[in-house]
Amino acid sequence: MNGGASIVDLFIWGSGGWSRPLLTGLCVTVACASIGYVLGIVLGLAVAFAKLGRNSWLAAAATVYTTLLRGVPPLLVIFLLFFGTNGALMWIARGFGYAGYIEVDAFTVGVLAVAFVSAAYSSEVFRGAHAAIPKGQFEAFAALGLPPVVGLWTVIMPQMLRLALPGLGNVWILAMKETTLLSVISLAELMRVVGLAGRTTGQPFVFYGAAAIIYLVLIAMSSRAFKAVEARMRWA
Amino acid sequence: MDLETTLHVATELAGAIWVTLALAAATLPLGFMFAALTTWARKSPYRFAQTVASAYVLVFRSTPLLVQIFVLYYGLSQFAWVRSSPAWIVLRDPFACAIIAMSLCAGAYTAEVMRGGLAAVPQGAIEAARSLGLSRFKTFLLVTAPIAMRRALPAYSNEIVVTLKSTSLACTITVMELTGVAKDLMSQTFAVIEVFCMVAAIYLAINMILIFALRSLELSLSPAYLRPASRMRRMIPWMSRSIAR
Amino acid sequence: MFGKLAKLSGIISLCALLVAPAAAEGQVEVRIGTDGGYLPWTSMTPEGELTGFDIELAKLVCERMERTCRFTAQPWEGQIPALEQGKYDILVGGISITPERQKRLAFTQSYGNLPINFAAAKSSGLNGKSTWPELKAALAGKTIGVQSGTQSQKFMDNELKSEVTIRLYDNQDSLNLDLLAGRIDAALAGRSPWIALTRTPQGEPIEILSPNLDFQQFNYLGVGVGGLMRKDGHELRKAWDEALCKLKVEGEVKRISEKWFGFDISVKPDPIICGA
Repeated sequence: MNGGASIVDLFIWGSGGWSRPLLTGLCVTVACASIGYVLGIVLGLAVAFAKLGRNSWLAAAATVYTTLLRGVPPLLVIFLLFFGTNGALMWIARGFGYAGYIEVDAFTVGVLAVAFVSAAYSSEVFRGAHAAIPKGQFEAFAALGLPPVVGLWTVIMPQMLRLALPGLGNVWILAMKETTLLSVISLAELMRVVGLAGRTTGQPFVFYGAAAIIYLVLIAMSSRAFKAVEARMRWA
Repeated sequence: MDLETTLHVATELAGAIWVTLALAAATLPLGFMFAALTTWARKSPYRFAQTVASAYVLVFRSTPLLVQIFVLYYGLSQFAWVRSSPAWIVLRDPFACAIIAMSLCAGAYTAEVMRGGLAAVPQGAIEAARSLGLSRFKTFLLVTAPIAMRRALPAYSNEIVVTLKSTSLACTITVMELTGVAKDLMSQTFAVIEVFCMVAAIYLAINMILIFALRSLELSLSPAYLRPASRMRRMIPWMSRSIAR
Repeated sequence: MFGKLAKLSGIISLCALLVAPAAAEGQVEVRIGTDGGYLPWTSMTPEGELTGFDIELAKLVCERMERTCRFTAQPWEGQIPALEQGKYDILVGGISITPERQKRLAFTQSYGNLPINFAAAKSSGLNGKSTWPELKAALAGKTIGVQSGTQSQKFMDNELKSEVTIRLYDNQDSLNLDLLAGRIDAALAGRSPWIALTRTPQGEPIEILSPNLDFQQFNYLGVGVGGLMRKDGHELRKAWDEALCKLKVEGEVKRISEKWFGFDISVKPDPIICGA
């Protein structure tokens, strides 16, 4: 709004320019999203099998977990995880006679928040994929005399993964966007830097536009990768 | 938080539930419409329509909704010609802007869901219907659409829940829905965690109702042979246990 | 390369579940939380350094208290629970003192009070009223924007809530944009952002409306802004207040305020805290 600095000046590398903080923010975003996503997928697979398994209590717990994490606004998941773990740690430390302030670092909490939420969504994706596998496949490996674990691993899992891929691509986008909320726990990810830069320079559009382009490139690149894997698996 | 504050917060929040529900209720059908149009354009023989549809999906899925809302609301209003055009009657209103931005975004995601659903329809089923002499349209209506719908429903229910939660971004353009009211209350009373938990409980309640309704719809759409007896047990294990006994 | 490094350090921190006790020994270091995105109160340079009226003042206070201070930027919503949990000792950044807030947390004495004004398009015909009741009558039925959590919102809630449609904004920039776009008929904010806006070419069609709404006229505005603390932080609060007393008498608060706001927003020393 102030119209003082030109757009080029805003993005100069080094003193007074915002390229460097933006890049740092981008790194935090990508690191947090990718680690959280991978953890989330593994956890999500476990949750999905818990839902599909014989143990009804485990299945109920898994259902409650997905309902809760999908139903609650993601910002609250982050809030509770951050202040909850800190509170719990301090409570334990107090038992040992330490009364100071303890904090799990914001990055770890960010990764966990992304992991928990993407686990909830990916478990639904896996469940859907499992349901889409023809019943004959299960009967086939049973007829071959394969033990259930081996059958699941060699026959069902590959098909499940293939069917789940488009859904998992969505979850990846979700994980990326989840990170935009992590600034509340003082993690300087991309959107936080963008917001700060916009307000400090009085040029919110320049920075929001830049953010849009960065996210667009990131997600376009990753969905290309997903499509490539999808195409590959179709022939396998 | 004392009782007086709690009551004040609770009544203020309860009043805002309707705004959130109205946003979601307007966004979902519009989003579905955009998605249907996109899906149709993607399958159409016209290259131009295909390109536009793909670009739309790519752009709206790949940028944060917050940015989209910002650009539509604050970005367009910077141009004088937009302000003097008839579109300004709609764009002037924050509520309308929120609905437009959110349904455009939801439309892009829903289009992907539809793509997934259509891809899961076995080619054989379509061929069978065609060889029985059903027209293209009838094949779509009687064979493709029902199968695709059933396949896409879990993903679409995800989408509905996400849309409901994303209405919370409307408060950045002054629509006072649940989150907006909650933020105001938090900065008034400083009871951040308490207010947030109350809001979360409301969102959770709405979403639980939605999720269970969609789950039962999913069950009722599955043909009997695909509806394992254990499905019900999975949903409510403690209940079916007592039934089994 | 850089990304990989960040990822790696992320993995390491994840594996180690980096649990860092914030204050090691005693309470030598004062931990200060601030938003960093609320000009001119608190802002951040591209180098990641915090600046602004509140930051500069807080640094002076720390000097006077002979304590080292550490500033951390965190968005407003996260600050309050973090303060309550003990991550920070004090929060600064244009935080308005209100009785409702004082129920839960404590404030230092007020150190600044920004007079507020309405602003509207020159073509609106709202300007030129000499008293508040006259302006109030002219505003009835209009849509008015205000930034949430500010003195201005307090004023709106007290004076105009039933007569007008109030729109709440996250920040001053959004408020400016909507005022320029004509989505709102008028807006209420501190005088300094309006001066800044009307000086820009885009802000040319906007004017500041008379009369000035000052705290002599409206008692509840007189409290102004202060540092926010937990109720158990007596010691720090006392030290902070004492330092503020001195800085006010020496005219330092006035000097910093003129630097950041362009005029004096400082508040007289609180007689109960500073003595007569």
